[in-house]
Amino acid sequence: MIMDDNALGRRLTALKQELAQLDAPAHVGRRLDAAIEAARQGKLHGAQGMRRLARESWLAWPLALAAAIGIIAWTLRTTRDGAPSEIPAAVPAPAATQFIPLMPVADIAQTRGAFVVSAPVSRTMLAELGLPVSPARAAEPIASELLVRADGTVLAVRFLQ
Amino acid sequence: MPPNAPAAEDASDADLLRRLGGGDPAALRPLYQRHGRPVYRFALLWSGSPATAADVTQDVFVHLLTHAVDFDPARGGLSAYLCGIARNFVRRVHALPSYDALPDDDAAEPPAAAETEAPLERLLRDRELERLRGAITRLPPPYREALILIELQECSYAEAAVQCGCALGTIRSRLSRARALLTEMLGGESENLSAVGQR
Repeated sequence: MIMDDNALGRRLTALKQELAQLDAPAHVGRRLDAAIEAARQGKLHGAQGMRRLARESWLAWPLALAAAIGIIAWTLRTTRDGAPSEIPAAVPAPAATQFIPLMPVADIAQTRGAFVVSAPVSRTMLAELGLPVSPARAAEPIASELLVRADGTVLAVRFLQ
Repeated sequence: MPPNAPAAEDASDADLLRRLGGGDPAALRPLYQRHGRPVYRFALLWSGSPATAADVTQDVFVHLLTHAVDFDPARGGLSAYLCGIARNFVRRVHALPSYDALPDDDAAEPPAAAETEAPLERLLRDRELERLRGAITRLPPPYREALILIELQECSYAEAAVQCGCALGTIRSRLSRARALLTEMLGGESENLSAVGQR
């Protein structure tokens, strides 16, 4: 069966709407700021040098973050040795993958209703889905959410990181 | 910056490019804020890879930093011009080993699912859009470019024709061919998924 032009138009519109919410990653702006600063100071000449600086400046952020984490860890350890430490109040919300279908999407499309169930699953499931698994943590379960049909069939899974 | 010059946020593209060409690199920032998103989206659709799109977006603006005077407003808008540079840069990146396997520090996440959207519908919609994006990436370059510029970047036919370096009639026929090819590519799947759009 050939899809009609209207159906294609609807999909293109949906894609355009999705794209409208999409922005370049924040690190692009940060790297450009670094390139702008270097250009202002006249440190670099030529596009090649600019591009190199912009690419390499990303190292500064992870290094700064690592240093900050190190300082915090050292501070907490020092505190724990002396007085009881407090648990940080704000815990970042877990990030989740998108739902990964576990059966043909055409079959899922026939489903009229489904609900989400939280459940820990074995990390080997990650490997079965082609996702990377650290061998050192293979035995640990991972928090996940299952999309389940009314008859109990699991349609899809997403992992909370 | 001259004392009478408008603030960067209010300045026109032409003013900012003039400043950039005259040695004021700070003018790049507002230009990126205005045109970074369309360039990133174009590079993403053109390459099919978020990591490549991010690198190419960055390279396009760094290129602009040193080549601002190359832009000719008589040939079309700045966004279309920058997308043309992005297209060439993607081609260059694709000639190199792929970096997509490397983790990105803060790669653009797909938009968060709306709270009101049921997970099932969201899953099916995501799969449809994924197939559409994949099909667009597989289109022959001239058709792909026409489709992205006109259908997804909302360029006019005239702008797209300038950008692609072809006549207006050619861009129309390329777009028509691109749609026909996409329809063919996605046709086999639409039968099974036709119910999705009807919900």
